[in-house]
Amino acid sequence: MKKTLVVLLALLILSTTMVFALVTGSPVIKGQLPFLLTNAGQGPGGKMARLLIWQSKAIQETDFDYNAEPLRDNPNDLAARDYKMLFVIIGSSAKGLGASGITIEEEIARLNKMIVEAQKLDLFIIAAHIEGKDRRGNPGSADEQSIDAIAPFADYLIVMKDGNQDGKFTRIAQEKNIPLTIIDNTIDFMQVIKQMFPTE
Amino acid sequence: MKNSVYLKILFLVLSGILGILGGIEFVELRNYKETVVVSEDFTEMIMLSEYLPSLKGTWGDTPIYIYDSGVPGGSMLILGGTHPYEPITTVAAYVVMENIKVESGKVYVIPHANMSASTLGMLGNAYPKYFSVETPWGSQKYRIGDRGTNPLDQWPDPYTYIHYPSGQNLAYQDIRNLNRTFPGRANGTLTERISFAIMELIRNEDIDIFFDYHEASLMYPVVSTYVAHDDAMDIGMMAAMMLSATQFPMKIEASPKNLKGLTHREVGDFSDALALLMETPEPFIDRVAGRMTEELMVDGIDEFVQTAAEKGLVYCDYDIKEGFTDPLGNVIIGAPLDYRVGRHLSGTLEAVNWMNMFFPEKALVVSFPGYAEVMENGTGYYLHDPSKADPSRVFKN
Repeated sequence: MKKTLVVLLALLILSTTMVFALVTGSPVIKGQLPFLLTNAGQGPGGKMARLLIWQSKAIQETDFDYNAEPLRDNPNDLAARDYKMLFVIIGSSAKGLGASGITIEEEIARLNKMIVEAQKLDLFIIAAHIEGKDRRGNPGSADEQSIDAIAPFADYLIVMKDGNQDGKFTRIAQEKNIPLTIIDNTIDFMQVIKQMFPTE
Repeated sequence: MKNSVYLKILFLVLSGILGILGGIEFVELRNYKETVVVSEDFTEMIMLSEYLPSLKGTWGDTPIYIYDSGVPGGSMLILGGTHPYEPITTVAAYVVMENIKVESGKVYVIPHANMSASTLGMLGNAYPKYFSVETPWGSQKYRIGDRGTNPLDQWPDPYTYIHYPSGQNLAYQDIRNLNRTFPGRANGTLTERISFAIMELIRNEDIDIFFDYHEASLMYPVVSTYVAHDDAMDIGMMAAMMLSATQFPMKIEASPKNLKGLTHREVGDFSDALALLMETPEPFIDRVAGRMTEELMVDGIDEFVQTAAEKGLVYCDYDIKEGFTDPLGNVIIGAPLDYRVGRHLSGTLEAVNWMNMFFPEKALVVSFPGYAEVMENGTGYYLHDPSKADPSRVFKN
């Protein structure tokens, strides 16, 4: 009984957050399946996004794959399935880079290769920066290099509001004519997914 | 010639006096005891040496406070004071100990994980020996310890510290750093034995969720963050996202697989517990901070850290002029004690909530004040007057 109450309370908190979730800017685009979810910069954002997609229950777990480092070892990673979209979560972490045993320069080289390959395969590229200002840095930092390697080449941008305080993503969106959806909090990403893949 | 001899004797005597005066400071800190009034749900206090008898009678032995509901459920271990120069971790553990209610499951709290280090202090760095928390009935005084085990208890350091069992080479002084000696060994150095005994506790008591409380300098990227072992990543991520949306900014980092000796890595690898470490912002230990005063420890206001923040060199919110506003509407100026204590308390509660959701079979039902309560009433409100408490619930650490 008590366990049930705890779970209900947690769900209540979660649903309350969802009610007040703010998704603004460009309308959320319609998603296509299957897609490959990955990250740029080896931050934890990719895994957070995967967890939020699972929690959203908008799609099946088998509708997408998660790969932290496509093209690192296998040149066919982006063609492993009939992917329609490449979903890149941007954000760098020294701990993450260390865990992967690579430098940011090696990571950027891989990202450049990944974008070229995705364009060659005509994948719809979504770039999402969902961890806010904590994954922004000074010019030249690992975070900024990761953003510069992905965002200008995206077909759609999803950005957490306080990660765009300097208007960098707005500028990229305007210059490249990319639709930009803004979320208030990381957890609001779940709402975007629900809108992207509406369940009838 | 005669004057020269007198001069030498004079300097010898002066040096002796200075040595004695300095020594008194160290002896006082070494023997000062903190007071805690445990909550009514407290059931038992045992010593860490129960899990490794060779610790008995050493400064590595430390009290473990147990809160057993008697109702089946999950189990939790909280470590405060792994690095005693991050003393708000111990205060947060005390707030848990003084207020916790356990409806199902069992909770273990070790407020001074490295007791030896908590008795050393960093007097050579001009750190104060103590700081105080104001309460409605007076002030409570706590020690400011060192990062590593007291050299009186473990000495000398080697040229290179080789971590056991990985064999990884670490900085020599980390052989006295409790957050580099996990999982420890039964016949190792004092610090390795403390680690081993804590691991034995975790394994023998089937701990489900483990928290290691820390504080970090603001210029360290991992400040205001959970660091989670692979197995605890999902609950850490959900907790971090919920906290950031509803209470205070909280990040998450994965525990690196190739950096050995840290609790979040080794507890997860060498036991079944879900291992999480939490870091709060402590300007006191930033390299650029100004005078090391008790006020800095309590208020977390430093003009030099502010300059670093203005230059984009810190990794969390920090503003001593206008402050920043958390999702609850509190305006946080600097990094005050209440903010740091509250973060640890709600960081724990939120992760436990998500453990209960992801692993219903491990459900642990506990309550104690969280961030919102501490920010509203102050930490001191939740510390009880030992002079009015049942003596059986008053303990000295």
